[in-house]
Amino acid sequence: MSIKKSLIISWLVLFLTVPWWFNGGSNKWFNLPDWGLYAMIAAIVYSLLLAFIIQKVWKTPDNE
Amino acid sequence: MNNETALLGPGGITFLCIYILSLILIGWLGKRARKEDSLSDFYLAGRGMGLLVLFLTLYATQYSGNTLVGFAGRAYREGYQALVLVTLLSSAVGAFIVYAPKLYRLSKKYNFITPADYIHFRFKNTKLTLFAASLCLMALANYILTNLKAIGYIVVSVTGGVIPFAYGIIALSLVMVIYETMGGMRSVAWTDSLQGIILMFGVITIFITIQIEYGGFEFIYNAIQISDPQKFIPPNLTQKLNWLSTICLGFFGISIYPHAIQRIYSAKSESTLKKSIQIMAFMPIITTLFMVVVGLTALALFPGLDRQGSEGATLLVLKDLSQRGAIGTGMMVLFLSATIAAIMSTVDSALLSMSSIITKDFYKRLKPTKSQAELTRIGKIISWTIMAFSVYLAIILPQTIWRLLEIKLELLIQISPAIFLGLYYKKIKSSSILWGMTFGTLFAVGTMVANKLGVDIPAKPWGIHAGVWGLIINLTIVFILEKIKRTPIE
Repeated sequence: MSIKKSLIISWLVLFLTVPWWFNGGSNKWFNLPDWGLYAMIAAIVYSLLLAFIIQKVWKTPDNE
Repeated sequence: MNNETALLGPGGITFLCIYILSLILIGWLGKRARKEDSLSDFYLAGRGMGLLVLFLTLYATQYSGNTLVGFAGRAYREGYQALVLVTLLSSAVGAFIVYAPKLYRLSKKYNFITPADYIHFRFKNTKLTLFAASLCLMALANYILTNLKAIGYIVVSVTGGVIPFAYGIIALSLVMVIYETMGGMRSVAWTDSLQGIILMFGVITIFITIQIEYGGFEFIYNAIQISDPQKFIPPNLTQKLNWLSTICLGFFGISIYPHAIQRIYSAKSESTLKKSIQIMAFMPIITTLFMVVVGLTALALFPGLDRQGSEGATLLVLKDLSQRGAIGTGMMVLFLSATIAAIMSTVDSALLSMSSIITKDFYKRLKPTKSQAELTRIGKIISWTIMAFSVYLAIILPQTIWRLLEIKLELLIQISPAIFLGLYYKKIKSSSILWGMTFGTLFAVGTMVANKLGVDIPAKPWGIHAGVWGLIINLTIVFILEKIKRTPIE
């Protein structure tokens, strides 16, 4: 995966961490309002994605 | 206030004092480990920070007292919408991925000390460099002042007013400036490491205790459903734009705090930096999210608090846990130590960063012939001067001025085009960046100051922060000026 591609994916996921598609009322999901659970899972997914991107894309010099 | 309302007894206070004084010992060890009398050694620990210390100092610096006290208060007031704070801190790590690898390599090659060193290297424009350095200074000064005030309030709470507000600030500031000037970044990073461990351990412990004692999310949901069901309503469009705007502040603002950039410069190697940032990606989950849960627990337990009352949400939960017998004095000491550690680790880093900017970006320009040893000595004097002045202001400033000090990220975010665009677009001109930064800053500061002084101008038009609007203006100006310059004249 190229750095450009991975950065675009990370920005897209970051944008999607906002609970855009929840309007009006809310339902209870796992003891949280649905949009709250969505925001929490999205934040965790974003953190995991960052760790993955750093691992895969950030190439460090071998001579260090 | 009297002794009966003190959060800790004499034993707990003694332990806390021993912990705080031990920081001076760590500072002295940092001084002993000094390798040379140079700016690089003093301000960047000789660019030799290993993985554990680098990670812990990044962590302790990024999570201030606001994380432990302010974030829980915000979760109390905003309910589940405070979950944006988790992404706020994560987005700063996302920004590191964009600029840290390139900036680290350049800093190693050209011996940068301050963020403005890079800006000067890239754009060769003294006005731009000094403007960026001034914005950094203003943001850091605000950061120090607000955190010093928080220290004063915590000391009063811990001792029940036996140690007054002003004395608490003076005593802890003295400890910080002593260990900071003894060993510079090395001392600060080592004390940060201890503070980072206490902070992490404290947050995790209180989160687990809450889950066991109250029942976690189920208890919170059921209690809020009765007391404040409005908190379940999803954010409306303006609130969603505010959510996105908050994330932008994290990405373009928190990530370029000067003390964070200087930690990037301080890494021993690029792989050390990479691993540290990789671990940092998870810290919002085990710190910010946990503190949001503490705030929600306070909302479930003590509904109906006003804004000032909600700022003490964390302490209310701790007191309740203590009364239930769920936690003992030890846990109380641990959490209060964690709060003080979080504040001190942020203030000492900001102080060191301010000292380096004044010494390197301003003083060295006036006195270019000064030796490294002399500059280091001047830097230490500057640290003491800044701290003395900050303590004085923290004690005497009226509340109306404090409201203006909330302007931090709105200023800092205006520097981000110089760093992000500067690293990736070779042809971008310094004048475009300077004009963009000028107008972006003027708009952001003008809007916020007018709002805080009572003028009928919203601080967040359509939910978007004035600083983010400023950044949009900033980038638009850069784009237009670059287009004009590239258009051939017929």
